[in-house]
Amino acid sequence: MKNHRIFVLILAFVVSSVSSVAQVKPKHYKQLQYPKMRELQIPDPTRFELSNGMVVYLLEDHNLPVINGSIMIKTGSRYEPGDKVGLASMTGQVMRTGGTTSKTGDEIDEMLERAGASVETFIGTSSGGANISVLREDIDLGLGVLADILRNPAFRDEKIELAKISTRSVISRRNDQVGAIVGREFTRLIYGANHPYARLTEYATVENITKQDMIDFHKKYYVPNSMIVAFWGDFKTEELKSKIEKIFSDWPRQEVAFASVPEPRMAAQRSVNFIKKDDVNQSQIGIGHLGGLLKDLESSQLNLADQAFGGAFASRLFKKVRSKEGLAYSVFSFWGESWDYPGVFRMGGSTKSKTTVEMVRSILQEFDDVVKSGVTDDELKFAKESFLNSYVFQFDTKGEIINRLMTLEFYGYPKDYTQKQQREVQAATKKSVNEAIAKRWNPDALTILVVGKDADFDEPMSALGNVGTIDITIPSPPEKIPDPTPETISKGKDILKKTLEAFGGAKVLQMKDMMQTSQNTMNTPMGEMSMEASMTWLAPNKVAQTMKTQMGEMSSAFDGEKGWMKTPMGTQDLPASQKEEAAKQIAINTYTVLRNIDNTDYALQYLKDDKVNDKSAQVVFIKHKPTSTTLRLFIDPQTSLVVKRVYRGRTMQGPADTEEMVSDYRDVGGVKVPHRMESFANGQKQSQSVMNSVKINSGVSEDVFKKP
Amino acid sequence: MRKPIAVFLLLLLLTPVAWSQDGFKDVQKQVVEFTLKNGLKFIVLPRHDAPVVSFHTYVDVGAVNESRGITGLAHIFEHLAFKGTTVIGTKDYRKEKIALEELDKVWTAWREEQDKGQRADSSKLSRLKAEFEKKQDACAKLVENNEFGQAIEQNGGVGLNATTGADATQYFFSLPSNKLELWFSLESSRFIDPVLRDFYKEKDVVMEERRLRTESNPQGKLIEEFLSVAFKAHPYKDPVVGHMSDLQGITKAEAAAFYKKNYVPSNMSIAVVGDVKVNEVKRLAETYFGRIPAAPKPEPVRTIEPPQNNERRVVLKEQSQRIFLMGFKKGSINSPDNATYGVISDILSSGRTSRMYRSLVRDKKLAIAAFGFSGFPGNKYPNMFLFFAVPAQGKTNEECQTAIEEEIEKLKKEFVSDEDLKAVKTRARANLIRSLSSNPGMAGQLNFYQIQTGNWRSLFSRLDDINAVNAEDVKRVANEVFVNTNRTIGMIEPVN
Repeated sequence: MKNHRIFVLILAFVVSSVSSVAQVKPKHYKQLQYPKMRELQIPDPTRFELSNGMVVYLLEDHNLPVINGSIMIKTGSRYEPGDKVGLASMTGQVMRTGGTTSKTGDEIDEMLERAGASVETFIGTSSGGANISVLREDIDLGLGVLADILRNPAFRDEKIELAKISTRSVISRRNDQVGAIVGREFTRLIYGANHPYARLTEYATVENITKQDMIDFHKKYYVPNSMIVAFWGDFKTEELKSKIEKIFSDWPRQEVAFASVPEPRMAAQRSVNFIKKDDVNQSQIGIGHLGGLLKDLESSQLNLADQAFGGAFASRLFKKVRSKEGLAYSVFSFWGESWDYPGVFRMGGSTKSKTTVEMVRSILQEFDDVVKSGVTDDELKFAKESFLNSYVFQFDTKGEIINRLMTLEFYGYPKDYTQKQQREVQAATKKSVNEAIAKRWNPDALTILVVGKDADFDEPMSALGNVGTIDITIPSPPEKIPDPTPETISKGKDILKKTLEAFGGAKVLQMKDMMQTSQNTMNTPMGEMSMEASMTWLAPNKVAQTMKTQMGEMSSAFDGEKGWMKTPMGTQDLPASQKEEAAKQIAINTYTVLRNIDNTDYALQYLKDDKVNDKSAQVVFIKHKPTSTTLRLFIDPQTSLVVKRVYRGRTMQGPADTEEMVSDYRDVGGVKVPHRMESFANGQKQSQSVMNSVKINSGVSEDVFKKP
Repeated sequence: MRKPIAVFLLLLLLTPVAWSQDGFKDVQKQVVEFTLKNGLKFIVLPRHDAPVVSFHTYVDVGAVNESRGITGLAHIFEHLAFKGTTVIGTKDYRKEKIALEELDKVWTAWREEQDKGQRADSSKLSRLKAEFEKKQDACAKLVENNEFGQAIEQNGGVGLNATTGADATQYFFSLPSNKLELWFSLESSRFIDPVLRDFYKEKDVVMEERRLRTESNPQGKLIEEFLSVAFKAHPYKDPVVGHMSDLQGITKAEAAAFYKKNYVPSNMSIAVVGDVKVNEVKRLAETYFGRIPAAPKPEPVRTIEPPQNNERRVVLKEQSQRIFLMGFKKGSINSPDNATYGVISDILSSGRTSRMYRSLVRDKKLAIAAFGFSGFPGNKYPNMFLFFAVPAQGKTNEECQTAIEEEIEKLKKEFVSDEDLKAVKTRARANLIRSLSSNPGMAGQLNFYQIQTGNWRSLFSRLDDINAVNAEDVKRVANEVFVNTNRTIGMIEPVN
């Protein structure tokens, strides 16, 4: 009887639960009503500061028997010298691999890996860091290794060599993947090729890095008052706190002077750039301009705009270019923001060669539209809701919570920055977003870059505007120049002094100006091109040039500081890279060198005897120190005239080692002037130039160099 | 009297649950599995740390289930699964249905003419092309573009994506946990009522993906060529993304048939990890996925790769620096030696104390990276143990090969030390513990082991398998697998 009653009860329960199942009907997603989201409980980590200024965050998490940590340090590749690019990154690597004063790197590897633990260090663009992960029972091991590496790295030679091999190998591979090329070169176009946020590690810069450089770099930046440490995981806060105090407190505070980094600037006008890659059937496209900072006033508005425009599956670009036109697998926009310097705003994607220009146009069109007309109500609703509804994912792990707090403090942001962002997004309106777009997104300042096989394009790149071609040939490792000795220096000087005499001696030193007209022939990818050209030089460092081409007359000038160029399309200021190039070319001009034999800006040395066209020649190596430009002059010992010049110069394909054959010397007002020049690069003839007329000291006016 | 109890209870809440050696058992106890009447398996792991939940749908269909002429179809269908249903992604399905049928007709006619090759009528071709484009535009007007993805993103979904491999197709994303029912509604509808809209455009997108990953990528090319040489009978030989002409030729009817055969409850597993109540998941599973009719599990691939009795080799000349691959045929994930494969992989490749790092990178300075791992290009069927080296600047593929062979010889001739084996086992445990921390990661792993081994518990029991591996196992398996006639070598040599 009793059992029976229980049975009935169970039956009733089963029946009722079955029928409740049966009552629910599948719903279309638009009909769904959701329960209110559970209140988000964001745990508050413990924060304290050691007497030496090191800041520590701790957050317990007992789900798994693991302890994780991360560290941020004020340093970065932006502080390394321009001739040692790669120093910061290699220092960050060898700190760990090179061991400490008491243990080799190999011993540390052994200790950690046998315990399934890891401690890694690295230095990025605007910060350095370390990550640690250990099983709970190994915290003393992990903490000990971490502190030892941060405080006493030994930078052992064999690990520096290993890091150099790896770095050089990575350089040699940097053009293997077309996607990597577009990312890298686009960044260089936006910041400037040699800007600290974009410059490349080269064989030459790796060569310049020494063990002492690493020791100095570490010593300068790795101080406790520049550091924030965060740990989360299976520990008791009080216990870990005392361990950290014990291991770090006696590390003395030390002030660090940080060099200032030049402020990146927005491009003044649109530019179109191309990189040739003949082994692909799909082009990679990058379009954009300088981005922003996370603390910019418009940051939240622009992130909404980006989400609506190209940052999501349901964004305008994805719908238009991928789903509707089927042009691309990958198409996106990314409003790039960094913590304390402007990021890169990049749109782009990839498409088959024969729809390349169509895809560029399609993105440009969408961008023009969004800047002109803004986002729609629906798009904004989508962007706002996807931000607000996914907000919880910014706080769904302890690691995220504590790392965010650490990063905010590191870059001087308010603790409630993310909450503030949420409020701004809630309050955003179509007006506020579209005003931000109008203010910060600029179709006139877009840099366009295409990497691909232009022979297969739907239209020539020039359909998009004047095309600048970028050469990505990896500069060869520097030829080893023997260290100068007093003998080679004086022999070099003697040779050049004889050459100065042969060129006209005092007449060369008294030159005030020179005007040349010539017939130039250039080998271009479209075939041979012939044109008349003229060049005007005014002592000591002003130069102006004019070329008459089929497209019309093109002229340019550089007065040592400012420069301009004029084409049938209009007049514009010379970009910084071209000014730099002009300054370098003037510095290693044969006459400039001969007029500055005793100037301490120039280092020179006799290199060796060599041959040019089967005739013996003496080679003098010249370095202009302020611009780091080098020149090799090949001099005929019989006549003391220059027969060949070797330098790094510009070609149609970009910078390359150029060999210039110099001949047909004639006398102009007591000065020897070559009337025929032929230049070669990459084993191919690039151009030749035959003088029509040369005048010296004819009284050139300053006006020639003024911007028209 | 009452106060101490309250304090005690409070302490109980605050005191962390200590992780014992039984920690893995505790996790397994929290996992709940159930199977719907139609055969669809659910694996649920409730975790209430944060109000979020991750979903993972694992379909036991991959590129291996394609046949000649339709390579790439599993992957194409994965793309199409984001295109919506008869009530999602359309402005007016009745009109759209007619428009889609007309479009297919023109495409078929166009293709028939193209099939004539040299004898095709060029004016007819261009007329059909124009007509096709017109019809395609007409269809596009009836489409609510990307409504499916938008519904997920707008509701706070993150990590939305899908992957297709040789063995399987997987769909996944995470939601705030109050949106649980949204996932049930969307995920069930896309597998019950899919509309293959934008079919031809999506094929264009996939062709772009092929250009991106394979044709314009030297390493992608190498892997495709390498597999085509390493396997001659088993479908592991074919690229997951498909051959270009197959991508062009695949018909909508073929895609529909592929879906109908493979997207059946008996061929799928679903994992839900996060802030959910099991009863709620059960109730919604019945409601939404119970609608799918039962169907038999598709036949497995019965083709068996014949034993390889001679070395095979493929050398690509590319505008790229060198890459070296060497693969040896071995058993599947269900081979009794599977744990030993894993141990060998760890000894060779895990960290800076691994044998390949020490030999090729640290000591001989031949490579900047060197690994050996098990399970290429899939796990379900007998596959390869793959060695991989990235030669350092100025070093050759041959030098790397010789150094790898020396490490292989050591495994074949010498016993692995107890110390090394112990380290492998410690790392396996630590890695398993770490992997438990991520909701999406756990969802994926539970499904992977469920489908590949028949039981999600293998995720945990494989640790016991690894602990049981001894030095003799390692030596024996190395001698069985690493035989020169059983290997395929692939490399890139620079063109210049």
